[in-house]
Amino acid sequence: MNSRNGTTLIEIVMAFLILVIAVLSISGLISFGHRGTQKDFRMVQAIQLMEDTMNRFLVASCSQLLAAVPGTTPVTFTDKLLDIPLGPVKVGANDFTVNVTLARQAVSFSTRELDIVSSPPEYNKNDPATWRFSGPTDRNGKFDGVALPYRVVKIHVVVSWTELLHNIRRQVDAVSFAVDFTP
Amino acid sequence: MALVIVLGIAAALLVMGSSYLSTFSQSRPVNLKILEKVQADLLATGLQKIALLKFKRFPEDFYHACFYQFAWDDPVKRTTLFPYDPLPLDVFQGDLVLQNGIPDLISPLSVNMYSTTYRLLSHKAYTRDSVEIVINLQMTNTSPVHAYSLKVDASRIPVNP
Repeated sequence: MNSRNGTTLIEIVMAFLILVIAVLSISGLISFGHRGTQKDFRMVQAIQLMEDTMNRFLVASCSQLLAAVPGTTPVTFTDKLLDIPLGPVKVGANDFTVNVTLARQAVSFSTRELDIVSSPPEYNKNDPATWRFSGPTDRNGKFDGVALPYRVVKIHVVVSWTELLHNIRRQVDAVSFAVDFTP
Repeated sequence: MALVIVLGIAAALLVMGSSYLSTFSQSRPVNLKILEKVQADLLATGLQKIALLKFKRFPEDFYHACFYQFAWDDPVKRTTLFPYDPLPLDVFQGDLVLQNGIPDLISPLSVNMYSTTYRLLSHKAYTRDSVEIVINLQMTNTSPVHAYSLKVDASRIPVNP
């Protein structure tokens, strides 16, 4: 029987099969990674959109924001408000939905007021040793719509989108406050 | 021999693929950290505005509270002061809204903690103050504490001279 050195057909077929399996696995992995990258890219776009929308609300007139929320119940806006685009927004090839919820926020501030009446007779405005303070009071600091008008608006921005592959709804959101500083 | 070469190539591809997967799996946590930082930045901006509203409402009380605190921090002067508990400055910056004391204030978000501190940087008695408002904010107990500083140069003008 003659024995020759070389590669048999079975070896070549086996090698080819292993190579095919390896290449297919790697291409699946690359495809998975690509989908993941696209998903992350959409999330970054959504974060940027959310930040931009919130910044627009923070520089808007707070008195106009207060006027947009007539009662104490939070109001959700899905259409343009104060020229700030809301609702469906297209960024590049991706579609997002931007909603904002505004609510009047009651805040209460307490201080110890300088009590000149109960300060000693040698009261001197430059000498803290002669000062007397009242107990903590929020007498002049309740911006709750009763004692004083509301001055703070709570802003909640939500940006949502759909991941096409699995049809999953995703969202990012942020909260901040606008304050009316008018005297 | 062919099998050995192919197995070598397959192993190399496997190593490349696993390193690619590992790189990809790290990008998602990074995105969540970016989101967390943006949420913290925006929230701190709003909280600074609320703190500024208090200063604008009670500039005299802030001024007196600061000067009392300066004297209190001096061990010699402290002996001449009336020992208030809490001190006026602690009352001034101790409101629930300034110290994460209102659970629903920032819902549906949640933070691990935030605090507000006022500092008088310079002053011209009763006429001009330079004030710093510092918000320390930590979104989760594993996040770093972010510090946000707002400096305000305030002039006081009598409304009824």
